[in-house]
Amino acid sequence: MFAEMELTSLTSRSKITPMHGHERQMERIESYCMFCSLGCKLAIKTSKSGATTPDFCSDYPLTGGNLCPRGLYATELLNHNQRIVCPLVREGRTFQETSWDEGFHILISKIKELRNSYGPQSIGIIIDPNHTNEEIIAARELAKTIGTDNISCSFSPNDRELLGTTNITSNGSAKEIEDVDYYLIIGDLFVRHPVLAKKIIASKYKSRENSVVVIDPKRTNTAWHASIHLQNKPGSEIILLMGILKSFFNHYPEKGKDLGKKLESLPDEDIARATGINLEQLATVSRGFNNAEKGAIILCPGIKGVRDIGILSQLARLLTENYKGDKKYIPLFTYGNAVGAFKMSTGKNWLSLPHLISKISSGEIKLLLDFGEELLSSYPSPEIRQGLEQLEFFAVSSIFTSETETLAHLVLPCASWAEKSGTVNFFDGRRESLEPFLAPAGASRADLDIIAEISHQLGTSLNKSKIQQEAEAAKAGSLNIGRPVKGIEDLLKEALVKDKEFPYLLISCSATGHFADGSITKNMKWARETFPLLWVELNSDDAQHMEIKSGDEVIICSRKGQITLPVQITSRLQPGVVNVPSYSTEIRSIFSWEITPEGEFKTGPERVRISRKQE
Amino acid sequence: MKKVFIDIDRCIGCYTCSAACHYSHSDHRSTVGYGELREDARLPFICRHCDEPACLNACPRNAIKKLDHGIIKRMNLLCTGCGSCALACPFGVIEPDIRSYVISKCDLCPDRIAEGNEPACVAACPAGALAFRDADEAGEKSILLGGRMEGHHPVFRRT
Repeated sequence: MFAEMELTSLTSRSKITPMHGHERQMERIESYCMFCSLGCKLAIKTSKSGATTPDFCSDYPLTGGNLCPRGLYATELLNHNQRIVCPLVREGRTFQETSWDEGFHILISKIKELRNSYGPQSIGIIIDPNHTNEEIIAARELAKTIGTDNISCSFSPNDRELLGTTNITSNGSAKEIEDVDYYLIIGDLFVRHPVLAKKIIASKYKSRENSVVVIDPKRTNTAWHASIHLQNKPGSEIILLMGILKSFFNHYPEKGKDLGKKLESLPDEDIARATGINLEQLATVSRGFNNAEKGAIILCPGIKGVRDIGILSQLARLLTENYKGDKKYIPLFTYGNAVGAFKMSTGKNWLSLPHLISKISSGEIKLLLDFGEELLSSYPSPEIRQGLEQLEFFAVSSIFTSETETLAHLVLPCASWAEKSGTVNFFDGRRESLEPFLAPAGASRADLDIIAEISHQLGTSLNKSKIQQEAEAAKAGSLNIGRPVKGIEDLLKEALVKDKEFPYLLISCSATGHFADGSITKNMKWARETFPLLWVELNSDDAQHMEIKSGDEVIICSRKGQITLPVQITSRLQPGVVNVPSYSTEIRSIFSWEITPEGEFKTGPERVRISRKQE
Repeated sequence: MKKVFIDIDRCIGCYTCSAACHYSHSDHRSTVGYGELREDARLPFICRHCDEPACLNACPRNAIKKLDHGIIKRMNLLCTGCGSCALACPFGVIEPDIRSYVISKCDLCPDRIAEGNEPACVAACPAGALAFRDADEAGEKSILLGGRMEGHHPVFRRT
């Protein structure tokens, strides 16, 4: 069966078949976008000729049929001419096309060989959270079959901490976000999740008392629409929320208890100095949030900027619990099935991604099976590259080729989310079923099939009905593992320290047209034209001081490395802060990927210095 | 005639209209450009389908025609890509970038309108900033409505 499929290249999709008369039969299929955790419904119309056009599901209550650029990519994703369409095996420095049978044969014999010589723990599995619940359960079963404990789900550094400190309920998501009088938004919401903008702007214009407060070090597009924009110093979000809580406990000392006493000992001027915002403004926000009948705190932090997400999320929850009236805490995640994947992967035999990566770097893992995670695009660092290079066998299933694939010994073509079925859980815990718009491109197969085949050839067939039952039963209830709010004084002290060697704080921003590390979306033609990958934004005063003009090249140097980037001068940033896009691999390589005690990659602003490029 | 209206008080500068235009046309050419009002607002430029179109008069090949319902359509096969229409347009909404021989021009999504739907950019807009309404009904009258600015395609610096 696959011998036939191999010959079917992607181009066959766009081949024009003769139409009968003038009748153009369009097939319209509805599914969900997986390029963020909102779960927007979209439809794709496929004509008989195979051409696809996006369509909108206006009856869907959460979005009203609106989409963001990422949702529209499904059209291109299905027909992209750079897709990997057949298994590729490395021969020397190049890749050779091969058949599925041959690909599986190489993989299975390697797994058996390495398991015999180094033991089952020498095999590692990574799966990214854009997979369906069924696929994540199947990966877990595969790990059991192999006998390894080295399995990890590669959440984005923020997602895992946010998920770990959140109670995800499965009711009325659309209702929770609309009809709110007072929004407190941390992060660039309108860029990360544009589809929520309509509801939030509508609520803001509904009544004069309604407010939108945005906490962001940059005057972002979200901040344009804010009633109050708290332009804090990067990384001071926790101190800012503590300032708000402190002013609240001043009015309601009986609610304060231990934390209230702790906060009281923090000097006001230190809070103002660390955040760059005066206490009166924080008191206004605290009062406004308390007096509003319905309030919501929405958390959608970017990869570099907001630090200690676990504590921040805990503080946000404290705010919603202590303030009177109906207050909601809504965290939003990067990956489509972050909630479902977290639920499936909280068992004790799952490692966090940094732990697995450190095992790869230390040489403990000899064979890595990577389903969908572009390690070198997400976390480009010499250590990870070296770790991957020293693997005895590296198999990766992917949609597009990127840097990670160049190190692989075997590349398996997998189906994108637009081409597979399965269940997923979106940000509010609601479970939806994905429908494939078209069959997978070329000879590519869904990861569930790939995992099932590997399991089968290793001697244990996957029980697909059991997996389906488990995925069906998965309700996202309480996921709370909790992080205590601790070390407040240390945080404050740390925020007040100035680094003379690296005086600038670097934050990162996302774009509406890019998803996570951009490894998939930078293959999209429209995204390439619209969003340049390499640039740095610099405050106009800083630029004047250094005599830098717009378009000049500067060298950004962090403790990790350096990069030369063209400058865009802006008044949206405060002096001392620079902003770079987070969807560029080259720029991500100057971020330090330190590991926190919780076993996650450290977020928070990066300390850098800037110098003019010498001609 | 119905036209696309932009409420700049709601635009979040997310570029969705541009992506929707790009992916809804089979030749994948976006006709929605973006302009910026200093750094305070960014908004899409979409063809206004003028009553007295300057682009039509400027075209040396008569490739731009006014259809029955007032829709300004460019006949791609007649177009030589000389760029006169792009220069003539007072609102700067015709893409001056010459791609695949012809210049991009908004066609108001005829396929979608025939099915009774709104143009793709309006249907996709996640901020509710675009509306497809009768020009007479919304009209120039609503430029200042209840203190909120509303109008279509002011001329700002293109980015």
